[in-house]
Amino acid sequence: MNALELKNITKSFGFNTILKNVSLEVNLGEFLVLVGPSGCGKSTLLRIISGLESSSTGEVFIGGKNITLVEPQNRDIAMVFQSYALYPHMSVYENMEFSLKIRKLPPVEIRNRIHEIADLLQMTPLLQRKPKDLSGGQRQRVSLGRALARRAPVILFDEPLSNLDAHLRQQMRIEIKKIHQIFKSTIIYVTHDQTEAMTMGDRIAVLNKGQIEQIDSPFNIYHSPKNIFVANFIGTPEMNLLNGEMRNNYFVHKDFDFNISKDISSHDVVLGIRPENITLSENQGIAGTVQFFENLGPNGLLHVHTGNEVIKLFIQGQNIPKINDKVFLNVDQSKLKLFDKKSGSLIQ
Amino acid sequence: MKKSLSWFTILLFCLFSLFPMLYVVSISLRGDNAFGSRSLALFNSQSTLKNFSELFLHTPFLKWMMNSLYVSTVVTLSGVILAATSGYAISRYEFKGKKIMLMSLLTTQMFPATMLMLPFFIVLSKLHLINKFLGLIIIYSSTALPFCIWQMKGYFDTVPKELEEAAKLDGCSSFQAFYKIILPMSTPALVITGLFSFMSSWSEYLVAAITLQDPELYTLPLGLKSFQASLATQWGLYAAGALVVSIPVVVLFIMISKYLVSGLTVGSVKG
Ligand SMILES: Nc1ncnc2c1ncn2[C@@H]1O[C@H](COP(=O)(O)OP(=O)(O)OP(=O)(O)O)[C@@H](O)[C@H]1O
Ligand SMILES: [Mg+2]
Repeated sequence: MNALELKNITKSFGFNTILKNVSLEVNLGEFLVLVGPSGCGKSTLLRIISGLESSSTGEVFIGGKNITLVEPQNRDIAMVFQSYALYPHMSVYENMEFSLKIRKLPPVEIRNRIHEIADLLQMTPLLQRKPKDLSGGQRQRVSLGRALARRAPVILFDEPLSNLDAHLRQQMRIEIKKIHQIFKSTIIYVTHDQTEAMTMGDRIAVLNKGQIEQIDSPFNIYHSPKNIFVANFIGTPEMNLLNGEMRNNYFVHKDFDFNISKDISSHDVVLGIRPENITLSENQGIAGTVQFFENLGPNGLLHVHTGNEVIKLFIQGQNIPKINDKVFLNVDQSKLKLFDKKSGSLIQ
Repeated sequence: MKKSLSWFTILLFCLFSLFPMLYVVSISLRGDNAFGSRSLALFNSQSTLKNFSELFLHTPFLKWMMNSLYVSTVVTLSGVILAATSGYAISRYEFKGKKIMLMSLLTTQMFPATMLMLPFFIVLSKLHLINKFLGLIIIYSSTALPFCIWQMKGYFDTVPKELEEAAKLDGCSSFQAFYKIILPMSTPALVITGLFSFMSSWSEYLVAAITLQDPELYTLPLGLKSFQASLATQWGLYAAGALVVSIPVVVLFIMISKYLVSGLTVGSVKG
């Protein structure tokens, strides 16, 4: 049985259609990450699941029950808001206690739960403070804690770590995963952050302009993107996307061409290749000049200009070509993706 | 040097604004009804509390005070409750005629009270509410409410919607979200609205004068005025009464001063 299911959800504000026919199934205890560009409807989708917003058409099921018309307070869904939404007149402890009290849990249980979560999120010293006396990161942790203390079967996260510094973000990422493993709630987690999406999700759903482009494991999303949008959106630095044409097993680009041992009829295509699947070679391959080198620490990103295109590739080691050096690039044939230019979807 | 100069300036202005107050105090302490006295001394050898004992023991002052307290309390409570609920509804919900309603509330504030005297009187007498507290309370509430509603609406507009949404997900109904989350965090606005209602009724004279004719029912301003009515005004009594009348207002202001400059919503949402 699915923990959560969306069937053909459409949402319009006036004439503006924000979500188009979104269908989604989330398994019990699954950690689903929802990514997509700003304004694509991620928050709106969470609000529809939580019942704060009603969908124009479509249905929401939780545990097999149709809850489309159920009020939010009766859905037993917890949510971490993009803007924290802490109760300003209550201390951290009272913020966390509030929902448990409403649900009439025994006082001992309430206390235990709050202290357990506070421990996990390292905010025991903050329990008696008011939200206004906390830093942005601390507030964010409190709003996380408030949702987690509920132990709701379904928890929605709306960019919960967006205001934390890199170090704390990494720490919290691990904490959230740990807590997920302990309580096994079903989680839908919205983020902008690629690393978060890749490391945390059991599956990733990529949303674009109100439509789900692809739902799959992080591995498949990364290595087998279904279309140009997903290929381009997932991965930092981005995948190289080269516009060209297929002609008799040759990929023909304005600046270069090379043989592809794939049987594809002639038409306009977009060739996608990730920076890590291109290597420098001595004297054969795509010719270009080095334009720029970005040092990323463990490796570096080389920008190579081929005339009309800039191709980026990872390089390692000491032998870094200098700017304006002539280089040759080799593309790992087994890793390249070909997309139909018109429809944007994967050919092979 | 600079600091002492600014202290001096502040002191000067304080004295300037306190002077009339102190003058009233000195009159109330004089036994001889000496309004015309030229002396600026606050106390002299003849200072007594006679006027105050006279006020409480030999005039209906205490009775008037209870009347005023009763009227003002009812006006304040009903004002706060009605302003909070309607201000909230106006701030949060869309309904037909909302704009018109808001504008007409504002329009009522444009007429000076004196202009409304006659219509008030006619309406009250038609409803047989002359010489009844209820009549006074209705008029006080209806004149204070529009402003109070606007004030509460303005405050609720600044409260992020996410707070109620979080409360709902925490298990509250819409009404619970209002009274368990929104109301408690609105104390500053509620207190200020309440103060406004209280002040507008506590020291009001004109409407009270046309509504209440029985001296038994007088509110404080009417009562004070009655000291003046006879041939010889009892200035000492009058001053003592005026001081007592202003005490609750001063106390209220001191009590709520911490709310007047507070930003309780700080920290609830980002930014
Ligand atoms: N109440 C509303 N009325 C009209 N339009 C709305 C409303 N709420 C959201 N929208 C629009 O819906 C679109 C999607 O908004 P949403 O908040 O879901 O985006 P998002 O994917 O969460 O973006 P972000 O990553 O920036 O948070 C936006 O274009 C927004 O302007
Ligand atoms: Mg959002």
